[in-house]
Amino acid sequence: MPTDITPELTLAPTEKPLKSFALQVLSLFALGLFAAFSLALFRAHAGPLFAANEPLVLTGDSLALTAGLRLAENNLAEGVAPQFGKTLIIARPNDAGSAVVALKLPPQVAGTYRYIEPVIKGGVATGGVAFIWRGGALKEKVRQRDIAFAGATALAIAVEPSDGWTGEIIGAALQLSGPFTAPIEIEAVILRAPSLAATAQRLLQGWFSFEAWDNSSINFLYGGPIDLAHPLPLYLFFGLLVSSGLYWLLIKDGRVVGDARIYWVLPLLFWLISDVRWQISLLQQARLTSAAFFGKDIEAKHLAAEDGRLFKLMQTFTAKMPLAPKDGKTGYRVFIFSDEEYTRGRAAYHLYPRNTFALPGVSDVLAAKSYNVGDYIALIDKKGVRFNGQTQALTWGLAETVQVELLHFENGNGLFQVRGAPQMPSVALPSASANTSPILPPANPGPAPKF
Amino acid sequence: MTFFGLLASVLVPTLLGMALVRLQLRQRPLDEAPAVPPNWPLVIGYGGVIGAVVATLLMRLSSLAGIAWNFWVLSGVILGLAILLHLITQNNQRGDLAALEVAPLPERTTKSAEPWLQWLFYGLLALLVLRFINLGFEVTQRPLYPWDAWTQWATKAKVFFDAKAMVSFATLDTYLTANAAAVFTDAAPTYPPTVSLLQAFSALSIGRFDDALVNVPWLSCWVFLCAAFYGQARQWGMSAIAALLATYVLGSLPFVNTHVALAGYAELHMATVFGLGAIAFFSWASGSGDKRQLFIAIFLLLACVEIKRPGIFWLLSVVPGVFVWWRPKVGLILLAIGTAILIAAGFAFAKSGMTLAGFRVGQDLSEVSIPIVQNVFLMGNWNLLFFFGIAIVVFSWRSLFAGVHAVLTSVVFAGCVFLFIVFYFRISAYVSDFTTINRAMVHFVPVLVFYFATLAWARVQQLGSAAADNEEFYRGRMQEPRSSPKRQNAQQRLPALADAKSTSS
Repeated sequence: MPTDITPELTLAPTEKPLKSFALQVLSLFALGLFAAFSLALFRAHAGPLFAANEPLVLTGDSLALTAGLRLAENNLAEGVAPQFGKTLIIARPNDAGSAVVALKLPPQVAGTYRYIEPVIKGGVATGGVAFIWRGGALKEKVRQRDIAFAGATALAIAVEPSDGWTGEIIGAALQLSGPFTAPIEIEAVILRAPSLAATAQRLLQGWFSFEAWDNSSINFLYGGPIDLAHPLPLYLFFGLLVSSGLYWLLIKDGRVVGDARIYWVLPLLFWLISDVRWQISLLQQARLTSAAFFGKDIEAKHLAAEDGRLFKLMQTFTAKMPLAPKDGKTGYRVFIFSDEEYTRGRAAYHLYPRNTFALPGVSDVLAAKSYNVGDYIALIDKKGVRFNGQTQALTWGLAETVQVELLHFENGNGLFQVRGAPQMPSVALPSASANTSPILPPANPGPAPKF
Repeated sequence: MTFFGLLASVLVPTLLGMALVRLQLRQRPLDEAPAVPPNWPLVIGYGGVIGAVVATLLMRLSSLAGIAWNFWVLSGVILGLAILLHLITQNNQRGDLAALEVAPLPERTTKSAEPWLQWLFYGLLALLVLRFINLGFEVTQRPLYPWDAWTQWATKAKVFFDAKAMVSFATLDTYLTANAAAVFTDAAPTYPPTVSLLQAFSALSIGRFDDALVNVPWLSCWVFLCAAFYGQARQWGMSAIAALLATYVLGSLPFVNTHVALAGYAELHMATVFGLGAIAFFSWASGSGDKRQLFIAIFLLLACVEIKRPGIFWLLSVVPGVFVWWRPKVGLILLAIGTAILIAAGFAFAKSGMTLAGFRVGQDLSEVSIPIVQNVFLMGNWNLLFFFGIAIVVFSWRSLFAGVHAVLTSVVFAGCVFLFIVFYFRISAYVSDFTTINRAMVHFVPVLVFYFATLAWARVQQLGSAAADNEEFYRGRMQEPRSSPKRQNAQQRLPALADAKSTSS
């Protein structure tokens, strides 16, 4: 080797010492992340950079499930709402399916605070949660902003003067629309003054919140707030473009020599940001799964699942339906009817391996000629069907009827076994419009049904 | 006992699959080059998938023959077949254990890699292992959860397990008039039964239908997909770290993980069977000379039609690749013409309502692009996969039709055309509400990831060659006399080193 070649030149110029390569990569990565986050803040933030006031935390006495807040379009809440410490717990909504939690706000709140962040735990309000208020120029108008959730976490919303959040705010509340999956705990409602830090917190909260499994997870994952206003993948890719672009400029300028390793290490780092977010979400989900199901046998797991009550009912039904002999000749079918598609399908699943009928889109009870003697009919949350205890017949539709034996009746749900050919009913049928309630107990009570 | 039963339900078919993958029916000539260690990830991965499919075929044969299923009898038959095939191979290998050879690239193994690359390799492996544990916990603890799983897949599995045989499922018209003891129904009675048979096999192994544990085949499917993918990437010539990086990208995709954790749909198996079949075809088409890759490809691609009904169309998407392999220019022209005809036909028949292979052609054309963009680029389904993929394709545009990449590009293009037609003409309503976009795309994702990985690898190799040329340039320049313009030019490019040189001299 020629003596005038310095030791450093024995390394290929494209393969730097590890330390300088690592420094280069991490610097570019950090710059890219900074650029990405700056863009997100630029798009998301409006108002002053620094908060003029400390956050206002409404808790305890500042939250009231009350009749005092008169909102024109909403009924007053009548839920059972004991207070444990500073947490307001709402057991159920009122008969109209709504619960309203009034917030005791200070004066001039609109001019001071811009972000509303509810801290909600416990059950889920299946109809959604909204922040409602009256104020501004149109005092009688009730304004509303829906609260988005990332998984189980309620995300902060930004209310702007253009939304009517201006002037004197006469009243504000959280409106929770039911039914509730479980009692809902309102720990606090936090109001934050506009600031860059609050915007940044809102962004990070949205990106890194936990997204629990729900019925749509098998089809898609949001990976953040559902409004997709600030999608993390897009910002990460922007950051990578900035890093790569900067590196290319440095190479072109001759300040650095190109290193092929950069072309895959840098994208990997940006990928890892998103993947670590997903992994953390998976671990949080594992905690929920463990709390619900770990250490239980399959029956206990089903009872602990979201359809536990339905599973229990199906256990009762299956006890009344012995399995058919496996001779290939004798058998029966179980027809399940419900006005809820989920209930119909899920009940059928629990009844397999019995020969079960519950087809999507088929909620109406089939014609009487469809049933054979020995078949079973299960009616769960099904309107429009009547059972006559005297004639022991089910009737529905336009005078369709079938002879049955009532095997089990519970909370408006019943299991019947087909006993004979259809007969004309001996009592006049009520008009179809009168059948607005689920299946009724025997209209003319005969002998008490045997359970 | 439950654990060992489940383990056996996975391992026994895998052993048969491995024996099939390694099968050598012809004696190795004495003058053939000595064997190198087998590509075990490839053998295990493909073995697991093929073994599972073959196990379901044996269950079907058993049903046809009127023999009630017994897990230990079935496992005994499967194990016996595996031992027989292994003995045949061993005899023809003359004691060697070589199977599918890895191209000898000793400088690209982990052992010879730089320490930080080894750390990175084991770090990515650790992330995959953590993912496996996480997903495994979800699969084995949570009862069957997603909608279609309990309306149309596990329904059959429950009935099959109870009857210890396959049972007919019929549509409503037939069901109402049929023998109640012999004919069942559910939300999709005509769907292929393979996935349901896998669940039934797991139930047989533990003697009961536990609708959490019967989903273990989804976890094992994910493992085999990752192993086979890694093996094929190494077979392609990628370094260990590059192959594992591509495998990590595939294995860590949130939507793929979700279909493992919320097991019960057929999408994961569809993606695995089609993906690994297509990749085996690519590997054979690259000139590897190993006909076993071709046989594996044919078997798995044909098996696609028994996983889900769209399987026939995924199988057909490989046909353009066959044409391009056979006659590159003619194949590409035919592909372009075929695409134009298909799209024109889609528009022409948009309102006709005609049926094709059980699928109704003709929905009103509607705007679905926005939901597709949202799901692919903005939401949490695919991480940054499609951003990177498009960038790789753009930067590798010169290689898209070079050599074997023409075959891959034609298959990828055909798959994209299929998805375009499905989204825009067939199921637009289910695209607009996000129901089906990702579930249709996931079938194609292993092929896409492999495609992106091979393009990226080729590009990085080109850049590495350019860098090596640079090294030659700098070394050559530094040997020039100090006053030469060439050396001064090089010194300007490396000011720090030139300063050190001038100081030392």
